[in-house]
Amino acid sequence: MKIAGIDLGTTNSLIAAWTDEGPRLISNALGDTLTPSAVSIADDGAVLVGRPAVDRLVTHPDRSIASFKRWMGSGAGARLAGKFYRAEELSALVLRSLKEDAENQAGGAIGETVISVPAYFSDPQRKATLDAARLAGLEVERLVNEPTAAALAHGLESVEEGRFLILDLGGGTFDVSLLHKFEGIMEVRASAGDSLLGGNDFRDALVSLIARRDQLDPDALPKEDLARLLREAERIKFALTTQDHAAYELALAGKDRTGIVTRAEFEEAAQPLLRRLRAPIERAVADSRVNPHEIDQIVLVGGATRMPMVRALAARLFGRFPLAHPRPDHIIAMGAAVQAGLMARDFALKDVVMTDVCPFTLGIAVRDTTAPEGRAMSPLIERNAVVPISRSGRYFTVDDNQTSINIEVYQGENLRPAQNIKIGDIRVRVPAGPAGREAIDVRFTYDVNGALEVEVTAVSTSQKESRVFRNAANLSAEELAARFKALAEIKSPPRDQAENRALIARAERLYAESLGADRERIKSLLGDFEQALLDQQLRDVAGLRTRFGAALDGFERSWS
Amino acid sequence: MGLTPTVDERAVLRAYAKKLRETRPEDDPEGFQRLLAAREQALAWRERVPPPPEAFADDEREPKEAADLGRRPFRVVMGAEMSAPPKDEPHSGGFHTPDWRTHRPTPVLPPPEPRAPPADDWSWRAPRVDFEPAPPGAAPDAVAALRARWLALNREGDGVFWSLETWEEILRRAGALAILERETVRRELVALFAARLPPLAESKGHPRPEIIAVLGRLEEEFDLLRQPVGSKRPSALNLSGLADWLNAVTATREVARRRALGSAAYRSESSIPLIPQEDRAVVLGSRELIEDYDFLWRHHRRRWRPVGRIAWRATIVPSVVSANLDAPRLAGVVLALDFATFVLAGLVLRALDLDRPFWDHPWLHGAEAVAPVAVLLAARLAAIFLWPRFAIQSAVRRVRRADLAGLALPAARKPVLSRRFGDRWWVRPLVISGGLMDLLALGVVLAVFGVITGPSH
Repeated sequence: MKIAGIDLGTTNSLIAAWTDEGPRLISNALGDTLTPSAVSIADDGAVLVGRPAVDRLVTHPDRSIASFKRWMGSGAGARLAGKFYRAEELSALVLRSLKEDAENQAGGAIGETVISVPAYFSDPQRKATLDAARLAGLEVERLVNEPTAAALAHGLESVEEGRFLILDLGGGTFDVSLLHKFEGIMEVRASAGDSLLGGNDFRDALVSLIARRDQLDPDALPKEDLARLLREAERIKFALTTQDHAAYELALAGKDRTGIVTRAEFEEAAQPLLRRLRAPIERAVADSRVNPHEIDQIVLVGGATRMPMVRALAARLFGRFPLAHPRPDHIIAMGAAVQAGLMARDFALKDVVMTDVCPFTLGIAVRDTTAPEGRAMSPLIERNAVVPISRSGRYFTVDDNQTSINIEVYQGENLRPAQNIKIGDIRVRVPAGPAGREAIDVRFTYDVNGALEVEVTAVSTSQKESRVFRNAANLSAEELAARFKALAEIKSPPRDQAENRALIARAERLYAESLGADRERIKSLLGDFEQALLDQQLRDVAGLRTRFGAALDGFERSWS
Repeated sequence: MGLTPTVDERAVLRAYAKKLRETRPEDDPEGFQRLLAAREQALAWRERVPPPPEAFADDEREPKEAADLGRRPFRVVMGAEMSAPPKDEPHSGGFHTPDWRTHRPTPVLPPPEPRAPPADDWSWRAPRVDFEPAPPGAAPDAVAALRARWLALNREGDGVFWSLETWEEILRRAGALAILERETVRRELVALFAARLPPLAESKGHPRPEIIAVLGRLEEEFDLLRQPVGSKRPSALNLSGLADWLNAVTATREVARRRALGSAAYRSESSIPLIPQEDRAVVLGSRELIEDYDFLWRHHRRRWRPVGRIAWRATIVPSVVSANLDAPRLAGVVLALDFATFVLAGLVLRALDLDRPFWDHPWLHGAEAVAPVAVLLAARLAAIFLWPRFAIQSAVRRVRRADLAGLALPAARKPVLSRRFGDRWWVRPLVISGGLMDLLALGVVLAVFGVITGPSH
C-alpha cells in the first residue's frame, strides 16, 4: 500500500509517492514526471491524457481541452466530441491517469492520497477537487495548500528556524504564503493569492503582443490557428528565459508571419501582470504583521517563476535574491507526498506539526442601517485565522413578529455582502415576538480541510440547524454516483499503447503545423507506423517507435 | 503554557511548540484553539512593552516637505495620522483577559538578540545573477524624487492633477521600489488623495471618469484597504473619504464591463435571466422574489418545475387585500377563499334539498353562469404561471437600463432599480379591476343564493 501526494496543476500534474527515503516522483507511461493537465477524446472514444492530448489541441481542438482547473467549482466545463464534461470530470480523468501510473509502478493499489490546491481556492473549489478525486476512485484524506506543500518539501531538508515567504506562480494560479518554522513546527502566518493569474497569462500577453504586431484578432482566428499561435507563444516564453530575444515563424490566416520578440518587449507587455503579482505579496506580508526585514528566505515555486522578470520582481521588492530550485515545478508534488507521510504519522516525520490558516474572511449578511444599502457583512472567521477554528456570534431579530431568520453565508473581504461570494444559506424558525427579543447563535467551524460547517441555534427554543456547505455549483451525491459510473465506462488506452498514441498525436500535430514536402514525409512516416501497428509486428514495435520518434525529433529541431 | 511573565518571544514559542505536540490541531481542535489564544496573550503581553526604537522608524518619519504641501489641507491629516500615539490594541481572541495594568511587569528589555543568520544549506539554489535588483542605498532618494513629483502635481489644478498618464508614470516608478519604500509612498499618497478627492455625492451618479481611472490605477498598485506592511498594528490610515470612491471605482468598472458584454451580461449560459449579484439586493427587494429567483437558478435545467412551486403563492389578479404585488403570498389565501365560497354555495344549495348540484340548477342554465367564473379562474392561473418570469425579466430590464444610462453609484441607481413591477401605471388598474371581478363573482354567488333562498321562504 503506497501513500502518495498529487499536484493537480493548471498546466501540469504530478504524482509523488512517500517512500522510506522520502518523497519520490513517479513518471508516467511516456517516462515523464510532468503529465500535462490536458484531456482529449480519441476517435474510438478512448481518453487521452497528458502530452498526446496537448498535441491533439492543435489537430482536434473540438475534442481536446486544457487549463480547466480554473473552472473548478463553478459548474463550467467543456464540450468534447459532442458530450459535456464538467471541470471535475476532466480533472478526474487526469487524476485517474496519475493513479494508474502510480499503481503500475508500485504494483499495487494506492492508499491515502493528498492533493494540493491553491491556498486561495474557495470552499466550492475545494469541494470540486474532492469530487474529482472521488470520481477518479482515489481515497483522498486531505487537501493541502500548495505553498504549504512547497514549504514542507523545503522545510524538511534544511533550516531549523526562520520565516519564509513562498511565492508560487504556476500555470494558472498565484499563491503567496508566509511561513514561520520554529521548534519543529511549521506555522502558516498568512496567505494570499490570485486564482486567475499564472504562466498562461504571460503566454497570453505574448499572444496579444504578436497579434497586435501582425494586426490580427486572436478571437477571430480559426481554432487550429489559435492553437498554433498559443504553442508558438509558449515556446517563445520558454526561450526568453535564457535568451534576450526569440524569433517566431508561423502560418496564420493563410499568411506566413515572422518576427523577433525581445525580452524587454515581453516585460513591457507583461507589466500589468507584474502589478498583479505585487498586490498579493504585499497583502500577505502585511497580514502576517512581520517586518519584511525579518523574512529569512524568499522561495520561488512553480514553473512560471523561471521567468527572469518574476525573479527580478521578488529581488527588487525585498532587496535580496530569492531562492530558486532548479526544478521549481516538482516541489509541490513532493510536498504533498510529505504531507501524506505526515498524515500517516510516519516515523520519520513524527516531529513536524503543521498549522494552517483560512485565507479569506467568512461571515454572514446582517441588516445594518449605517451600512450602504442597509446590509453589511458580519465576519465570524477573520482572514488568516489559524485553523481548525470555531467561532460563534449571537444575532437578533430585526422585525416585530419575525418568525424566521435567513442566514446567508458569505466569503470575502468586502463590507457589502453582494460584493462577496455567497456560499449558501440556512433558515431557522424563531417564535414571534418584538424585534430584538429572539436571538440565534451562529457557529462557524472551519476544519483543516477547508470545509465550513455552520450551526445555527435558536436561543429560546434550542432548535438547531446545521449544514456543511456544498455550493449549488457542486455535484450532489446522486450526480456524483451517476458520473462515476459514466467515467468508469470511458476507457483509457492500454498502457503499452500509450506511447504509440502519443507518437501518433505528435505526428498529426507536426503534420498540421508543417507545409509542402515536410507534410508528405510526415504523412508517409505516420502511414508506415500505423500499418506496422496494425500488422501486429509487436516484436519490433519498440525499435520502430524509437526510429519514428527520432524522425519526428528531426523535424522539430529543423524548425526551431 | 507553564510560563512566568516574560518578554522573550522565543521562550513563548518554545513553550507553545512543546504543548502543540500534545494537542495536535487535527485531533483536538478546541484544545488547539485554547493553546493558540494563550500564545497570543503571551505575545500581546510582550508587545505592550515599548518596542526598541529602531523597529518603527518608518512610522515616525515626517516628510521633509511638510512646509510646502501646497494649498490643500493635506499636511494636517498626514501629520495626525503619522505621529498618533499607538492606541491600546483590543485584545484578540475573546478569551479571559488578565488585567494588564496590575500585572504588568517592569519593562526590562533584554539586550536585542542578534538573529541567527539563516542556515546555509541552500548552496544548490545559488541565484543566477542576470538581473539588477535595486541597490539598497538608492531607494530613499527614489522616494524623495517621487514625492517631489506628486507634491508639484498637487499644486496644479484639477485638470492636470487627474491625468492618468502622469500618475501612470509615477506609479510605474513606484513599482520598482522595495517593499518598505512602497509602503511609505502608499501611505503618503493615500493621505494626498483623501485630501484632494471631491465629495462623492457631488457627482450625482456619474463620477468623473478621469478620477475613476487614476484611483483605479492607484488601487491596483497599492491595494489600498489592506493593513500597512511592516507594522504590528492595524492600519491607522484615514480612509473615510476614499472608501466610497473605491466602491465607485469597482461599480463603474462593472458597469463598463456589462456594457461591453451587451445582452450576454444579463443572461446565463442556459438563458436564465441573470440579475448581477451586486444589484440583487436592491432589485429583488421582497423576500418572495428572491426565493423565486434562487429557485429558478437552482433548478434551471427543469424549466417548469420552479413554477409549480412558485404557483401557489403568486398571482397577478389578487383581490383588494393583496393588491401589493410584492406580497403575493396573500393571493394564495384569497384564491383558496374564493374556492371555499363556491364550495360553500354548492353545499348550501344541496342543503336546500334541490336534489342536484348548483350548477345544474335551472336558474343558472349551466355553462352561461359557469363561464365567467371559469374565465376568471383561467386568467388567474395563467397569471400565476407567468408572474415569476415576468417579474424577473422586468427586473433584468431595469438593471440594464441603469447600466446603459451609465449610472454607477448605488444611490443613483436605486430609483431606477427599485421601481417595482407593481409600480407601473397599468398594473394598479389591473389589480383593482381584478379585485372588482372578485367582488362581482362573489356578488353573483350571493345573488343566486338570495334568489334561491328567497322563494322558498
